[in-house]
Amino acid sequence: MLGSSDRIERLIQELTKMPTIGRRTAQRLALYLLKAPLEEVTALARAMIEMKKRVKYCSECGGITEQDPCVICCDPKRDRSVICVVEEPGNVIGVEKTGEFRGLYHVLHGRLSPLDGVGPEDLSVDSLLDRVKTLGIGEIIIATNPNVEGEATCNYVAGLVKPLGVKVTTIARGVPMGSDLDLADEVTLARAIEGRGEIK
Amino acid sequence: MRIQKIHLTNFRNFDDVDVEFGEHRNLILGANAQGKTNLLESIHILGVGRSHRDRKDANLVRFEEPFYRIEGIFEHIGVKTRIEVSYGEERKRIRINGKDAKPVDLIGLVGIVISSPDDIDLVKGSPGFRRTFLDMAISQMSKEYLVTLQRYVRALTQRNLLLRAAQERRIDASEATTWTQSVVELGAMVVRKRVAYLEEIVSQVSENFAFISGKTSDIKLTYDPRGYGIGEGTDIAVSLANALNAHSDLEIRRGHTLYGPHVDDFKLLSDDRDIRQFGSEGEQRTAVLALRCAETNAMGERLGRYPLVLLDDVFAELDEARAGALTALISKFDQIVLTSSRPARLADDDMHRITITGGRIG
Repeated sequence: MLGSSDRIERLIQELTKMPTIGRRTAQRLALYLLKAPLEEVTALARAMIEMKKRVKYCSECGGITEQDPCVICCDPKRDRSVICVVEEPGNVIGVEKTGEFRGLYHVLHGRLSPLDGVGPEDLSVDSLLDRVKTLGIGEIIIATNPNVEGEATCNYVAGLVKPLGVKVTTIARGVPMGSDLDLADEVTLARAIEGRGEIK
Repeated sequence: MRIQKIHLTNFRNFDDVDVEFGEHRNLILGANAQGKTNLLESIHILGVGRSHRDRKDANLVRFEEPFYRIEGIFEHIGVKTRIEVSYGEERKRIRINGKDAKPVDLIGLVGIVISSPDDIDLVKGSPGFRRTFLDMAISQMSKEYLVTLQRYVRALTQRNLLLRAAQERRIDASEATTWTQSVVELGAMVVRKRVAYLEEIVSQVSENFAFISGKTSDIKLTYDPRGYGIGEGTDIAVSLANALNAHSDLEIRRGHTLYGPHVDDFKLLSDDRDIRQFGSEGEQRTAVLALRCAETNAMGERLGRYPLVLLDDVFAELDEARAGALTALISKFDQIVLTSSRPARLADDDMHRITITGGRIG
């Protein structure tokens, strides 16, 4: 392989396990690291190990945190009557960036997909129901992805939460802001028209 | 769009040929088994990404060759579009103007309507033929329909996996219904579009039927939902959900979803008689052609230009009067490619003629 060494090959194979990384990208990364100064490579390795040791999932919401419960769950200024339900921890970062949402989060850690062997028991749903009951939540905003699996997950969660007497909403689907209507595909546009709002 | 040229490599019985087409009417001539239908099939593949008569691309490759390749030049309002479809090493590739594309990018770009002797299955065959007719016709007019249909099929696959798991007692029966809501919502969207399409084309089908057969009859196209109702004022999603919920035990025993657009059908009625059961062979052929011409008109209206019409040996089964009427009916379309093994009947000086002999042109 590569007319090189087993050590490079080993690194390439480890890198290939990562999402979106194919063999060719892995090879480029490995050769880049070989060329890079030792300090840089050490810093990278240390960053990875420290991240792995320190960062965990919040026992309350399932989001990414170094302290448990996480900063958001502990923040007294957050609105504790609303929970935004998302599929992955990365989605929390996305919603937080907007600065529009001041409530709490709940990460499901997946989406229903029998094709991928993911069923209800693989999602953090029980803990969501516990939180809804104990915190006295008034509204659940479901922000799963707008695809078939995301919507089935949304229906499933809504079906469990509604009987608890909680208002359930979903985020609007439609045309991206700052974009051009001409650039939106038919399906998105049709969805946006369906969910249109009245100007008051 | 009109097709100007096509280049075939290792496709069916062609090894390497170029064919040029005329702007309006094209007549492909040749004895049986020379490659007339294969040429139409190759145009159809460029239009929708797959064959109208064979699901397996491997079967389309010339004997003992590793791949096939079809390249066509199309034109609309002076702009040329190059479409290539190739298959080799178990991989299919679609390119539009040199850029890699997906089948969904192709649908509706050219706009294709094809009719062949097998079309009699639209009347006589199993419901699957009629569902394919609806899905192809509507998808080419509305990408939204195609995407909804794909989402429906995806949700259906997920739900069926759970029903199978419940059948084998790997999961609890209640879990199997998790996907019901997605399936009924998407399913209802598919059904509504299909019903609207049938309503859109019915008067055209009726007119065409009268024109070809020379006698007026009351034609109806009725969507036939299996096991649930869609009547006036019915919420289709609710009606479908009720049917599924009422038969959940049976669904688990069978291990798949029993009701929805994937098993539905539609009926062709002439004076309230089902043409499938009571129509003569001639009436059935006429009904199919009336349907295809209505499909062409509807697509033409929606796309703002007529689709490319491919007619494979459709005159063979018609008597003189009906053949004459059909010729008049299709004369308003833009570009047509016809095949025939009997040139005399269709002889016409302003037709562009293409003669095929044993996979060779000319």
